[in-house]
Amino acid sequence: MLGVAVIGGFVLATSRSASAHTASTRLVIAIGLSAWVFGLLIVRVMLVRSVSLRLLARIDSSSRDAFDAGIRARIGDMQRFHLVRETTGGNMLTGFGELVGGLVAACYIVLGIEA
Amino acid sequence: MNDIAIVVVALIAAMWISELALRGTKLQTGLARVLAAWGSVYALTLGYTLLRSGISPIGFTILWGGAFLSWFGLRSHAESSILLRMLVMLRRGASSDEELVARYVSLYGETARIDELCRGGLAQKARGSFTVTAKGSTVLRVVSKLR
Repeated sequence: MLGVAVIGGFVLATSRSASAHTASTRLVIAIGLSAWVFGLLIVRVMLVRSVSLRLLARIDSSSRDAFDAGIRARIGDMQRFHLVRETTGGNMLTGFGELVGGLVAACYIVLGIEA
Repeated sequence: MNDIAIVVVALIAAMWISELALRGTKLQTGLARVLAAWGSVYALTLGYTLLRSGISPIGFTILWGGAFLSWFGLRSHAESSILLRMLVMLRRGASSDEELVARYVSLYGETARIDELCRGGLAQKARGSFTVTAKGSTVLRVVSKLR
């Protein structure tokens, strides 16, 4: 919300003093602020959901929680996002899941990530 | 519009050079090389914006920082996301929960993750057991505030 407020405030403030000369700079700053908000959001989600950091917290507290609980939870997430459905043969990709899985597999090839 | 096109080309170049620098290594491991790639392209493009472009250097710097953070988040997510990895695994056929977890853990299980935490200086092995380092404690404190 704060990020949206900052971007909205910037756009409102600069639109009053709009001139063609500064149009490129205003556009670049607005896109840049949006990229900051998006980047911070995705990094926050990664940190909060990270299984490795949960493992670190477990080491810190000497807790004996099952390591695979966080991994198992992702199967529930896939079902909730309609990426997979439960069948008698196990978890199967939905049409949407096939599409996303195909895109991810292509990304892995392009980025050289071992699948 | 020409200025924007130059910035877009610079961003694509930074991402492409980063991939060349990363080839075969994880983002966390090759972060210094990636920062060098983004820093070099930033310096060259900043030079251009100062000399010839109508974009202010401050505006360009805000954009560059945001673009790097977004790229880092997405690249890092693509590399480490359990959910995305499982989706790719399921393309080979249906799996039960147990099979899927076992396949994932065989690829990137507890031992591999603890090794990575130790390599990153977040944990250490002392007298036969693992402990969290000062750096690891700081990271945990930050993450607990984000929850």
